Amino acid sequence: MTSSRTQWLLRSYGFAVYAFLYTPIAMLVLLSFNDSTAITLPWGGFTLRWYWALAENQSLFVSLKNSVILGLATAMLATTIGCLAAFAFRYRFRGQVVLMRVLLLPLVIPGLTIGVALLLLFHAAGVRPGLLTTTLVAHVGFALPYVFVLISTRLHRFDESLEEAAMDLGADELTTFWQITFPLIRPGIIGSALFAFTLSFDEFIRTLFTIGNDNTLPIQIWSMLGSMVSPELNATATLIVVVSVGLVVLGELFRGTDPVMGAIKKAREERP
Amino acid sequence: MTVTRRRFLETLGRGGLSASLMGGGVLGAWGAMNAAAQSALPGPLRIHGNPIATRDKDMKPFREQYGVELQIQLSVTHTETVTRIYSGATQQFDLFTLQHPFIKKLAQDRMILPIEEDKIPNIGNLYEHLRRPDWGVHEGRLYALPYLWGFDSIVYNQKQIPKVDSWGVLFEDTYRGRVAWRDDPLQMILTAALYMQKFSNPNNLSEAELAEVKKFLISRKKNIRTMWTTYAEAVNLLRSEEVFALWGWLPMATSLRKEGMQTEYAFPKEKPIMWFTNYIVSKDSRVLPTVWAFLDYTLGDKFTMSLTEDFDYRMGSSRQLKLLSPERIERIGLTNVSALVANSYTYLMPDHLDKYVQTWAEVKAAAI
Amino acid sequence: MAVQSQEAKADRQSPQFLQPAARTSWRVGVLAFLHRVGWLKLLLFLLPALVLLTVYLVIPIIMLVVMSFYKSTMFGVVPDFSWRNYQHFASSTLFVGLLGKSVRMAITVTVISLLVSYPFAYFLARVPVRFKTALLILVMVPFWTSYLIRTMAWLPILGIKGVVNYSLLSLQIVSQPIEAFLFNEFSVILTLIHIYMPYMVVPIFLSLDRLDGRLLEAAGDLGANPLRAFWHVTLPLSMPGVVGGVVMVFIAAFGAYVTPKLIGGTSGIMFGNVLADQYSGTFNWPFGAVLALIMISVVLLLLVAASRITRLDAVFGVRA
Repeated sequence: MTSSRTQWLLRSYGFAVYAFLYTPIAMLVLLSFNDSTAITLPWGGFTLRWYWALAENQSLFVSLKNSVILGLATAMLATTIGCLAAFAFRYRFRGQVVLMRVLLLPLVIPGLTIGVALLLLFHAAGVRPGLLTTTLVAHVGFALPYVFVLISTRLHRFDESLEEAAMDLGADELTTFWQITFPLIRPGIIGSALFAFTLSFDEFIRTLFTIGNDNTLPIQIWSMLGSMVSPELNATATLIVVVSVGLVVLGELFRGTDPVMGAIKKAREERP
Repeated sequence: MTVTRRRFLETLGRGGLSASLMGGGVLGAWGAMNAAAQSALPGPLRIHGNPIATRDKDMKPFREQYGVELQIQLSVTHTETVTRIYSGATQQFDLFTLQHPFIKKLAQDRMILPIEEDKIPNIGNLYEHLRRPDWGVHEGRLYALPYLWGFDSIVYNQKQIPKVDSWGVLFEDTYRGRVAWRDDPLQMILTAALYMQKFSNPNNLSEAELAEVKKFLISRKKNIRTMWTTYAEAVNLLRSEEVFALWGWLPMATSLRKEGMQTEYAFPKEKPIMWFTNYIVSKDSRVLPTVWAFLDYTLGDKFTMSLTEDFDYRMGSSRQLKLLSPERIERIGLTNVSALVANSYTYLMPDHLDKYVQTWAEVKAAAI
Repeated sequence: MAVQSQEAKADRQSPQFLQPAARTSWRVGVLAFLHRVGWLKLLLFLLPALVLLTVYLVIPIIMLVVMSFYKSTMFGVVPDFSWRNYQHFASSTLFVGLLGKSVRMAITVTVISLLVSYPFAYFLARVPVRFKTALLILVMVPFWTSYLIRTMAWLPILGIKGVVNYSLLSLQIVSQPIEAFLFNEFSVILTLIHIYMPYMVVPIFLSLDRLDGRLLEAAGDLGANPLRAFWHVTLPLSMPGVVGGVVMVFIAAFGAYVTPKLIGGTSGIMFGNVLADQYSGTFNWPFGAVLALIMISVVLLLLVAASRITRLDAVFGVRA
């Protein structure tokens, strides 16, 4: 429908924005091969020593593992809780407006104050800080409003006639949800989960105050940046980028199709 | 038969994967179990410390010698460490690293244990001025084991600035736009106070004196390119020649010099700022024999020389004077230790740190 | 064979996957019960969020309010009810000025981010379905590298001896390197736009992605040209995403403190920096609490004002 010129314009623009997004990344990758202890230009020669240093730095891998685990846990929990809440909002009920504001309020509170408050709270309650206990609470609370916003935008004016049709055909509520509703909002859920993971993976300040004995990657990075030479951090960043992009490419190659969406698409295309 | 073998291999494989994920923890534990047969030190030893003091390469010899597991968490700032100590971290860690100004209060509040000097054979290695420092002694007992000391001053690019011997380079118009401060209230206010040379006790400025310093700093803000917060930023600024001189630490100069840059570390005539970093013992530690063994290790030659080699640091052990070449001793500035200490200004916490912080906030917020 | 009745035919035409799974009696019972006691179902849905919020929100806010009246000493906070901290905030015009500056910068970031992100989200929404997830992930990947080192990577790009200046000098567009690319408001705004781009792209994308190509076809059939179709059909339908993105980016940009610290030099400092200093330098938590409460109030005020003008609540499904 859109003219090919518009298509071309859109694609070029998309490419330009990706270029902007990846500019610092390109610089990071470049610097990870730079033979200099400073994480900046001028170019001191090509070297792989930062990658060797990374391979020997066990603690970095442990931190990375912790961050991934925490991120996945946050994504799952925040998306589930946020989904449930967003669904609740489809029904009219008393106090809806107030509750909505309350749900969004954590967005407004600076992370620093949340961190300190949680630290004091857990200390007073005698809860021992831990990666998948106190830190997880901090991360899920952090991600929840964002997930709520994202899923709500997807649910906004959701076409209920599809669900009603399914129920008329004899499906109960659970089946309707899984077979009809869920696939249609799935991009919203995937997007929110991805977003929640990203928020958690890069989160630093709330983590700093609520974590126990462990390190997450941002904490280790901040600590290393603060007291020593650490270009192996660039190697870490490059590795993260390469692995993620690699996974995406692999995922694309081995992708299956989705029966419901496929059927709906086909039905639409076949309509006269 | 085949099923069991396959299952066995699978488990091995998974074990191997998880070992690599845990950073060799499985294999490390295996090695530890063997070594532990020799000495019976309780473990694990949990340390919340500075990355410099807890590098893998320096921790490995201790781990291997005693077969004790080490759990290390990296600290970010000294005040954060203190916050956590008061919020229950004494139960999570056996040892902390901390700079000298905070030691006395922690000792008074009984959050840390005194050092059992008779359990540390190498204690005699300590430099003279580190044996009974004012800031580390409470009720006659030593509460901190200094492992590192030095002074803060100016790191500068000798190619661009031939010689720096005064704090003035950070404040005067001469190198306008090519110098940087550190974003730290205590250090920068103290530096300015030392430079202004008109206060009787720069470590404890009164409100009126703070206001004067504030005015001075705001008036000189136009001369700096930026302020740095992390070590890495400072090194970047110098290396990329974005600035020619900045308030900084010795290892910055050392590491850049290793790359062929002519960076020097100044000794300002208005006195550089001296500090001491220490290990302190948590009051709730349950592995004290291991703690003393570890502290003994940090005063030993291996630990001392490793850090000296890599960073040109002044370590806690005075054995440096015996083990280093005279040129190296001169480069590190250890030829006359007592003169060095006498000509430096040891910083302490002011009574009203919050006033310092608020002053600094106004300095940063002021439009130039 | 036997003649098939109408119902039998209809039954068979009901799509396979819509047949409920084996009807266990307890499941039917539970669903029916929930259907009758509607509010219970609602409560169950909202419960996890409410529990989390109590821990995450209610208690910290109470602590903030209480602590703002306390007194700070070097090693801790002492209960000592007084307005001292509030007075200190009011006494200096610098803080209020910085507040205004931060609001202004946050608005700039939000507006530019919206203008840049909207077409990009549109591009993502029009991409063939099979690539959408992959491209979306590719948008996120840069944000899995630590924002600390990512922000520091701007120095070799924008610095005096950085790539940009080097190019300008080589092409002889300028004769002296330009200092104004870095360590000021400009670099902070640029970096904030970069860092918070997903906050704007993802909600708008999710909103646009719902759109049916048929709606635009219909608009076209009714005589609208592509521009009018966009203005009257696409844009209004993507409003929820736009509003969500604007809110999230503004709040994040307003509260930023690491970015201005790393890359703001002397003139790019924002209000968040002063707040952060109260916690990292000392135990000036009471004053920090005052600053935090003021920040929260400013944002809430702006949000309330915005919701009067636009229909913010409707975005989140609140039926008017």
